[in-house]
This record gives sequence, structure tokens and C-alpha cells, in this order.
Amino acid sequence: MKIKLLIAQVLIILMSNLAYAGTPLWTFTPLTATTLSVPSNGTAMIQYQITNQSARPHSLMMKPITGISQITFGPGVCDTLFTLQGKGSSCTLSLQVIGKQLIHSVIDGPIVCDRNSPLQCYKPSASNILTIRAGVNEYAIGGIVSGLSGSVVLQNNGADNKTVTSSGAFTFSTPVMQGKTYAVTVLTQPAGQTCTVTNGAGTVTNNVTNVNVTCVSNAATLAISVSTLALSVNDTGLNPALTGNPRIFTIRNTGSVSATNVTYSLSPALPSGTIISPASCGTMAPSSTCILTITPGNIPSAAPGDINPIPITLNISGDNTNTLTPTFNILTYGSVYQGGYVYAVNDSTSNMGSISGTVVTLTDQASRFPSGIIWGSNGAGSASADVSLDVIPGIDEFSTTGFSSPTYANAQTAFNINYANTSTYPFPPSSSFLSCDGRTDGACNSANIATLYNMYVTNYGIGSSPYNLSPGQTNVSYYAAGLCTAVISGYSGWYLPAICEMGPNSGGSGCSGSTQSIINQLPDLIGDPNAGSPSTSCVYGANCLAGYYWSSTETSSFPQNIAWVQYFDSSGGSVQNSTTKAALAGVRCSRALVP
Amino acid sequence: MNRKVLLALLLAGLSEKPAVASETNIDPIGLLKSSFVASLSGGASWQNAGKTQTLNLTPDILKTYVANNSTTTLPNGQLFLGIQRVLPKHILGQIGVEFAATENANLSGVIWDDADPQFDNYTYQYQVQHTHIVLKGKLLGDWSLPLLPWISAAMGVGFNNAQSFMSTPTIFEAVSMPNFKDQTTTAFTYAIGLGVQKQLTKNWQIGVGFEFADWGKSQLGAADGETTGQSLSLSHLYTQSVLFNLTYLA
Repeated sequence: MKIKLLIAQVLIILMSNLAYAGTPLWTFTPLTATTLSVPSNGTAMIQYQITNQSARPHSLMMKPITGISQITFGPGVCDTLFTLQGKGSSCTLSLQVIGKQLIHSVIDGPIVCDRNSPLQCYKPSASNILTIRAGVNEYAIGGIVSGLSGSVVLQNNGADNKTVTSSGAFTFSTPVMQGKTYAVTVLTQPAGQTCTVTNGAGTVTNNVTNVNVTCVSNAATLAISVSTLALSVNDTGLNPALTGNPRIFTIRNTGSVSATNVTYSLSPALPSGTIISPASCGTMAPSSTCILTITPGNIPSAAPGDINPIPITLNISGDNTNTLTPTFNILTYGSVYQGGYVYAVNDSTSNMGSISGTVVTLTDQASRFPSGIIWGSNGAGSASADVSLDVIPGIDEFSTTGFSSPTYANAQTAFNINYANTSTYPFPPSSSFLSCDGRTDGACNSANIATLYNMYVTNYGIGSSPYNLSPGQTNVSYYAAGLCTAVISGYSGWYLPAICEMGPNSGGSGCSGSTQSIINQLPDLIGDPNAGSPSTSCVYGANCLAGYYWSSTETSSFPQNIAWVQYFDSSGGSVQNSTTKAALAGVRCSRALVP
Repeated sequence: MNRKVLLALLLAGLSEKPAVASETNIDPIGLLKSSFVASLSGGASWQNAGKTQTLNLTPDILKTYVANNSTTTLPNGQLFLGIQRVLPKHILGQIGVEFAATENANLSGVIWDDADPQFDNYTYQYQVQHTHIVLKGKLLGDWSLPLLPWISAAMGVGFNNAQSFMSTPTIFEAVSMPNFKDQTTTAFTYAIGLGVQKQLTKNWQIGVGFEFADWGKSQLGAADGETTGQSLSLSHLYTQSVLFNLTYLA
């Protein structure tokens, strides 16, 4: 047996080396024409003689073709499942073409398989293959692809595929007969895009050219540099500080596909005179940026004094992106922003962010006399009897960052005279006090005041002098600067303003003419303390500043006992003066804008 | 004597502390008495061609798959981790575990429908990729020669991944048919080998060896449309390899 196998294998090698041409197991000899046209309301007959070429018998079936039915009766005609017994035995495969059932032309087959198994199938030779063209008109199905980047595979009637690699017209390779339906779908989307088909289905009456395939990139992601911007109006005539510098929003495409048709809308509309450019950002490639520049005019985005101003919202989006909604405000003096009225503007900050500046609160933290509050408290209360008379270093009207006035030494000496137990509770170290610009830097002044009164309850005036300090924080609602440590209108970081922040030079305060101040910049907020209702006596109509209000600047002549106050008077009598720290005066806090 | 060696090998693998053999003289090459061995081998394998076979895919469909007679060369890589013990008569014994993998072996041929050479209407090809984990033992001769000769034997389990079968008609009239599916077969694998090692430093050796192996059985999965479930298979896949190794002894 092994020898036989060996011989067989040798023969195999020899025979395969002879380049023996293969023969089909069963052959198809055409008995009729195999290439013809069939009208849609007609039929035609096609016949092949199927001959078994092998010694082994085979039971065969034809693979069905839509529109063609097998005729199985008649002499010598193949049955649905027909057996050809040995080499040479044959039967006639009779096919009837039914024009009405043909969806499209047939250009392959017939395929005949062993007992319908896909593992052994044969078809006629190339010249005898079945080629049926529909007799009636066949029409091409096509259309236009737009916006394509990459390649998309479209499919018609679930079988005919067409790969399109660029935008433009396309046509399917298989025509569809008149009167039949077509249905175009997307089989494979391009990488990173989604294509949608419109006019994709219908009944064929003529060439179809209006199948519309629109492709858009999958989402790109836009990011914005800042979520809000504050700008100054351009009104140097009103004040040199209002330079109205243009400021920018930078939009960046952080996605991996291009953002298309990036545009924006504004709500509410820009105030007259303000320009934003460019008009749109168009297509943005991944990692690219589009810079929107806002150039203010002389009109703010909301009226000064409007307590509920509406910022301008930019609604930015592309066809395939998220939506960004940054806001911006164009401010002038009196505009309400970050919890207060703007009275100082610093437009020299980087144009990639907002202006900085100063605002004053919308309402009093303490009202004028006979309400009001003392400047410094001994911890027992906020009435004149509860005053604490201490020297706070570095905050009088002559103090500068280079020269602290009063000096730390003077302050410390006064402290040691006033209080008995200073060996246990010494004056706060000099490193805990700043040397402030006492006239203009209310934030710095207020910090120094807090340094002493957060460390000790002084008990000044309680018992006999010298008094005994207690460790701990003095209640912040008992003294002027303490009231500004609260959260007001949702913001923190308020302070008691320095004297020159409140009004122009008067009474020897030494304020510079160029300092922006509440009186100079917010005339409409100043009321008449002698009016029947001072609080409503200003142009803004409510919460007017009228009467005496504390500053955080000590008076250099007698810093322990006296501090500067501003008298607000719209009838022309605004003055700056000094008074005892035990007096009751109003408090209206200021805050630096956070750009 | 051989039994004793084998027993010593087995005991060497099982016990922790080495028992010092009574015949240990001072070793001129300076090999350590008992050590951990790691050996990385690479080289080429030659595998014999496939085997001609006739299959019934359904009770009626009979096809002969005639294997081409070519041998192919495959890259082969092995990693051996084990221990080495000194045995009597200046013989070193190593025992351990070896992991190996090769590139795909290509097998191809022609298909005869009806098992008849008149109907050679298709060509076919597929690949077998082999990996194995075996227990390997090696005996080296430490006889003060410039090189250490060795013999080895291994047996264990192999994984033969028969894959990527495709057939192509060679005449227009033949219609494409479904392919045999990929299948991984777990098989008994064994190998024997011989070669030489050269000591470079106290811890490092290089060497070369020849190995004859039987990768064991490999088989493709049945194709769609089959009713019998038969597919191309090989009971044995014999290979010869030449391998260079880099060995570390600790």
C-alpha cells in the first residue's frame, strides 16, 4: 500500500510538472444564444447542455438568479436537482428569462453547484457566460457628493457598491431598468466624517442625477481663551485713562478634524461705535486659532448706573462643533461690574484679558451719621464709646512704599504706652505690616488695620489705663475697615478706600489731580446730605453717597486719634477732612477688579 | 549509570540544596557548582513540506489537496530558564523550561476536484505558526576542552495555529469557494538536539546547536458549507533547526 502511494505521489509530481490544464468538473455548452436583450414585458429562453466530465456521478443545482426561472419539464431537461451519472452524461439546463422580474442586467452565471453547496461550483467559460441586457431602457443612478474628505462607499439597492474618493458627480456602475426602484445608502462612512443621503430613493423613469450625498466632518471642538472680557470705552476726552484698547478672544480648534463654517452672533447687539472682527472664522484646521478682536467705541455695553447690566454674549459655533458663549462688557465710569460701580480704569493690562480698575459697592456697608461706625474698636461694640485709639503704621497721607508713615517704631511705642500686658502680647512684628501708599492704596491700608485688630481685642478704654489686651480677633462688624472683609454682592476682597480714592485733593490730603476717584468719576452717585432724603438725592436715584464716610488713611498729625474722612455733597461742598476715630461715619467699600 | 544520571537530573530539579558530589575536583574552566541558567536562542528552522490528503467536504464533494514539496526556512526564537548541577564524571546537567515561538511556516499546493488530477482547478496556501512550552534537559561535557559538547532532549506542549487558508481558481469556470477556518491545535511536542558551548566569562557562554523537533499535530477548521467537518491536517510537522544561543549562568 505504501509503495502504491509512493508511485502515485511520484506520478503526481510528474503530472503537475507537465502543467496539465485544469478542466471544469461539468461543462456548459450553449444551445441558444447566451447574450441577449429582454424587454420588460417579454420573456426569453436560454439553454445550456451541462455535461459531467468526471467519472464520479454528481447531483447538481443551479444557484438562483433573480428574474430567471428554470424550466424543469421536457425531454432531456435538467430537473431542479439533477444527477449526471458518469463521464459524458448530460442534460439540458433550460432557463426562462422573465423581463418583468429583472431588476438589472445579468452578466454572470449560471453557477451550478454540487447539491447547492458553495464548496464545488462551476460556471460557463468566459465567452459563453450569461449576459442579459434588459431590452427596455436602463438608466444610470448617480448624483453629487459634497464636502467629502477621504473616501465613502455608497450602495444602491443593497448590492451595487460605488467608492467615491472626491466631491463631485458620481454614477453607479450597474444601471437600473425603467420602472424599477433604486435606493442609495452609505455603506461605509469616510474616516472622521458622516455623510447623509437625500433624494436617495425613487422609481426610475430617466437617468437619476440628483442623489445628494452631503459629508460633514465629525465634531471638532472649539475652546475659548477666556470666558469673559471687560473692556474700557474709548473716551479719552472724558478721562485719559479711558483708552478703549482693543482686546481679544482667541478661539482654538482642539479637535482632530477641521471645524467648518465657524461663525458667531452677538446678543444683545454691539453698542454703536464698537467693532468686532473678523466677521467670521470660516474653516479652522485642527490646532489652529481664530482671534476675535473687540475694538470699543465711546459707548458702554450697558448704561452707567444700570444695576442689572446685560453683558454682550458671543454665540460662536461651527457646523460640526460645540457652541462657545463667552461674554464681554464695555465699561465706563458708573458701569456696574463685579459687584460695584466702576470709578477707576486701568487699560494698560494685556489685551488677552480684561481691564483692571476699581469699583465701589452699590450700597452702604454703614450709613452716614447718626448711623455709622467707628474707625477702630476695642472689641466691645461699634459705638463711639467703644473706640480703640491705636497707631497703625504705614497708612497716613504721607506714607509711601519706600517710606512708612507713621513708622513702625512710633506705632509700637504708642502701643506699649497704651497697653499693660505687652510683654505677653507684643505689638505685631514689623514684617506683618506693609509700607503703603497711604493716600491711594486702600487695600494696603486696610490690610495693616486688619493685622492689629485680627490679632488682638484691645479693650482700650475698659478699666484704667494702661489697658489689658486679649488675644483674638476683634469682631469685624465693630469697625470701619472690618465691614469690608465681608462677602458683598457675591464678591470678596473689598477694602476701605484710601482718601484719594474717594475724592480730589482737599484739606491738605495731597491727592494728585490724575488720580481717578469716586467724586470725580461718579458724579451721578453723589447726593446732597442736606436734602430731605439724601439716599435718593443723586442722579442714580438710590443708595447715593452723601455725608461723611471713613477712609483707611490715618491723619499724619495725630495718627493715633484721627483719620481722614470724605464729605460727599453734590451741592458743591465735597471736602476731605480729618476727625476723631470715635466719630460715627459711613462706610462704602471698594474693590480691585480681577482681570 | 544512565539511570543514576537521570535520577540525579530529576532530583536536581526537585530538591533545593545541592548535594555535593564526591568526585568534584577543582574545575579549570571555573564553572559554578550549581547555578541558575538562562539561555536565549535564535536561529532558523527548516520544516518539511505538508502532506497530500484527500477529504470529503460533504458526502458528495471529494477534493485532493496536493502539497507542494518545498521546504521553507523560518526564524525561530527560544528562551530557556533552568538550573544547572554538577554531576559525576565532569558532566553538567541542566533542567528547566523552554518557551519558543516561530514565524509562520507556509504550506501550499494545488486542489484536485473529485480527487482527479484532470481537475486541478485551484491552488491553495495556508500558514502554521508554532509556539511551545516544554520541559528540557541538557547534558554538557566539562572535560577541559576548548568547547563543551552537549546533548539535549525536550518534551511538552505545543500550540500550532493553522491560519489564513485561501484558495484561488486557476480557470475561469471554477467558482471561488469558502475557506477553511483558522484553528489552533494543542499538540504534544518533542525535540532532541546536540551542539557545543564556549565559555566567555565566568557567567556568559555562547553556543550553537542543531535540533530536530516534531511540532505535533496541526489542523485547520472546517469551511462554511461543510457537512463532514473534515479539514486539512498534519499529524506531525517535523523541523530541523540550527540555533545560536547566548547563555547566562548565575
